[in-house]
Amino acid sequence: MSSDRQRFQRTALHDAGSTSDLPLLKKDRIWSFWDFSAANIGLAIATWAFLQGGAVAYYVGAKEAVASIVIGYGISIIFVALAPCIPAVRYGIEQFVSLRSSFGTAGGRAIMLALSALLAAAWAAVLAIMCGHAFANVSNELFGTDLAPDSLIVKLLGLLAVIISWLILMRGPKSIETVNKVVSPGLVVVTLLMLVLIFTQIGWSELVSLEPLAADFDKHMAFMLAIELNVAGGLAWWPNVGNLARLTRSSRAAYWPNMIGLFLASVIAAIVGAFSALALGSDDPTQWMIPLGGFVLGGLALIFVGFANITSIVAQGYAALVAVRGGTGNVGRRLPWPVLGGLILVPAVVLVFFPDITYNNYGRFVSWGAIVLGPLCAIQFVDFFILRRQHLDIRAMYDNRPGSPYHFTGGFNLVAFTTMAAGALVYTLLLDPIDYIPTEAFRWLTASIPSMLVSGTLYYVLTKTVTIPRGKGGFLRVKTQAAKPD
Amino acid sequence: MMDEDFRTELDRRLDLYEDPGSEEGVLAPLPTGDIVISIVVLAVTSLVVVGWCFL
Repeated sequence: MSSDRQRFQRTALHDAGSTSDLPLLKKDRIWSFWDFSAANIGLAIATWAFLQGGAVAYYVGAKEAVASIVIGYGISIIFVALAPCIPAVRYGIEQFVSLRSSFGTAGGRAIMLALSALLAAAWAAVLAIMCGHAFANVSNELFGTDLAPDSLIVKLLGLLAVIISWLILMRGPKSIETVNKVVSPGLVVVTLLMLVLIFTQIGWSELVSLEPLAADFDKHMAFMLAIELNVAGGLAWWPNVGNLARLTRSSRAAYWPNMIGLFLASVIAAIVGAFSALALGSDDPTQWMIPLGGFVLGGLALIFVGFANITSIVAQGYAALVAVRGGTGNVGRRLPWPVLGGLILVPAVVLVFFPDITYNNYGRFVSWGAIVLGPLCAIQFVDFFILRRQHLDIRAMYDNRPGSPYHFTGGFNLVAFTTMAAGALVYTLLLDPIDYIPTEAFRWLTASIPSMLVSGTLYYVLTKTVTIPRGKGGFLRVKTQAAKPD
Repeated sequence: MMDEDFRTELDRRLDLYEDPGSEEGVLAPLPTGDIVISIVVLAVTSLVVVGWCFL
């Protein structure tokens, strides 16, 4: 069979391994601690870290940026490293399968499908537009053109980025790995180069004296908004990490690399982004390279960052593709890889034609994700770590029949959905997600943290008082399987 | 939602997971100490950076 024909076939079960929703066997767990750390660093040092840093610089200066990035990412990454990763690695199951114990057999599927598809589309659009901006800026400098950020050329360049991403995605996981092997180290070099240039050209004392890009709020409120933005930025990793963590060989190898990659590497890249934004007075990363590095070095870095956006789109698209294929059951498994990839990227094709609205609202877009992802992480954490003490009934995870432990009510755990809605409501009461205007209480609470606390506590109370007494959720009949040696 | 060959392979894998004599199966839980260490390190680091930032 030719490789082209193979590409259009459904994944064969015997070599499904990491790309199927079957529980993994020992041979499928291919990643050591350091393999997962490397993959994690590659994922973290991507162009979205620069966007995050730029968004933080909008509110706070250099020192507050460092503090808010460390605290915000720290809080959210602990939850993201625990809630989706540990159930997935212990039982070798897909992230959406692990959601069944808290949201129900159909509920888990619905959540994973909706979130993966929506977030992949939004990220793909933002990154494709950033790619368009990068090449437009290079053209403006090189050929003296005057391409505006919302010009047709930028839109078409964004569209081209989506198409190239789809072509890479179409070739499957191997080509993604090959591209990432080149781009990830390159981005590490660009990040370090930017840091060196900032310190040699501007210096620390001048950097800390620079004002934030906007002065809409007092210092205290601005700091809390920056923390909120970083909590939200960390939570945005939720759709990607569980399916990667399950490829590792122990719970520790699934947990700690997130601290090296998603936390440490993201923090460094976001701090470099914030410093660059403050130094150059723009939150658009494509405006930084040439003023910092000069025409040749900066131009080359900008071209590289333009292409790097494509690998970020592909990484996000791949995670969504795996989730959507698993979540749609036989329909998804039978659809050819390129068709599924195309379906995931279609919304991005529309969004790239609205570059100003999409690209300039990064902070809002990340927050919209946090409205759902914060409560979701809290519910998953309480369910798996507190109520079930890290034990699931793996056979029941695949049992959709009414009366099965994780079927709840019609396949949905209404308690989980209700508590998630309560958390989302708390968030919106503290921080208006449309105008991004905080209330006075936000000054002391943020929005994501109380929304997670409310969801988690309510889920615990309602599970104890409603779900367990009704005999739902399999809480009383978990078969404790002895763990095998790692 | 499942076709026959998927169901067969799933059952085979679940049997392996549940067989105490098989090498396949559930991995050991994450030790609670690891979670506690992360939270303590985060709390201390947060205090340090806030102090450095505002004091």
